Amino acid sequence: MKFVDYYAVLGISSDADDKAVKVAYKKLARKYHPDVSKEPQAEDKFKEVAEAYEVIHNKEERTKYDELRRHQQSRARQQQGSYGGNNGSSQSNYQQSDPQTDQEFSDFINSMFGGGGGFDRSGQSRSNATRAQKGQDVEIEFPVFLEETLVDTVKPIEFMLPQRDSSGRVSEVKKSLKVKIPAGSVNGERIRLKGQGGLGSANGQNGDLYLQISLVPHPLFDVEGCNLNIVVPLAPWEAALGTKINLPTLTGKIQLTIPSNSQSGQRLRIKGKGLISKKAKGDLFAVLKIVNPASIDDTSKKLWEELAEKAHFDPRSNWSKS
Amino acid sequence: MQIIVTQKDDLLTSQELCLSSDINEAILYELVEHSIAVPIEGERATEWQFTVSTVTLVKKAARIKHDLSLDWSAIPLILQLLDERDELISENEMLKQHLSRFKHFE
Repeated sequence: MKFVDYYAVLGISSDADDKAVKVAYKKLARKYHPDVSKEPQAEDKFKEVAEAYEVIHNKEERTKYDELRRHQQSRARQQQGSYGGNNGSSQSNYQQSDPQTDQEFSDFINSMFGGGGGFDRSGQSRSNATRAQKGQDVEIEFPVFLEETLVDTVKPIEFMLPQRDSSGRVSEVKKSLKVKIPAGSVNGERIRLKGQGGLGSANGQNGDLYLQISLVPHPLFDVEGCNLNIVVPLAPWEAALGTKINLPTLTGKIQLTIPSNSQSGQRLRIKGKGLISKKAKGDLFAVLKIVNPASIDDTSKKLWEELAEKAHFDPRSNWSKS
Repeated sequence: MQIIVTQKDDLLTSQELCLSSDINEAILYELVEHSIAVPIEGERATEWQFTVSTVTLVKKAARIKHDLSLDWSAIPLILQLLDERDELISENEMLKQHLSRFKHFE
């Protein structure tokens, strides 16, 4: 278990007054709050900051903590002395805001305030009272392929469930289920599996499992609401003369007619071949992209030159008007 | 292995929402008053029904209020701005993905 310097975590001096403590906390909370911040490890950093604030902004706990801190400081000095000093360096041996696991933080705070006491993240006091308590709700991201959203799909799922033993220690057990996902599920949608979360204590009901649908990116199709986009590469002569192509959709290939004189970026709508939702059936949009061959042989070059001579087409005619 | 069948239009009662979100009734009234939690069915509090996604929203609202020491009145604006930011991020990602498909021919 490592000593955590809460003053360092909050970036304040040990004699900072209440106002300075609050200002430092608010600043860091805004920066690292997991609902607001997009920084990596924001949640871990916020937990450190919240735990430090819970202790430092409470007079009684701060006094206890300061005593412990002084004790740690003198112990560190003694240790440095017995190892021949540190050549005048003022570096301390404290473990500062090292992003360690939550467990280490909890161990530390429990050692200070007793195993049954302390605070949870919301600042509410914990107690081991034996009243009926609902088990913990569990929320997990559930990857679903686009094809799987078109029909009811049964998928296996494995997840870790927190379980508290008789001594109050929390461990994780693996749970496996098969879940029927209804057709028309959309990205970000939450599905509740009642009673499949953590076990309730003292006859309390079990928690729920929440699955957050996360659509797996498709190699060909991009999702735009209920609609899908697919980019269709075309040779210049296919775009000019028109053609028929086999177009992949989520349910198999269809034949698509490319009209003559098609333009790059033009979108062709294939009705009802997108995703489905509660309210509507989406469409598939084929977005045309004119592509030249990476290299051309002499015959092709001559044909292009002949076309250039005879076509009388100026793609930049607008420029000359301005 | 048992197959758990999910319900597409699963709704939660006020009591279930309070239990799942770890809030009391008084806070639920505040949330409804500020349109953070919007019952989609029921006129009286005892008849209120909420969508499943309300749980996540309520938890988020309660966390932000507590952790940033804010009033309830500030929360709807924050949630709306966070929503708009998330939508813009996902729209931006979608457009980038679309652009990359358009730029490179494989």
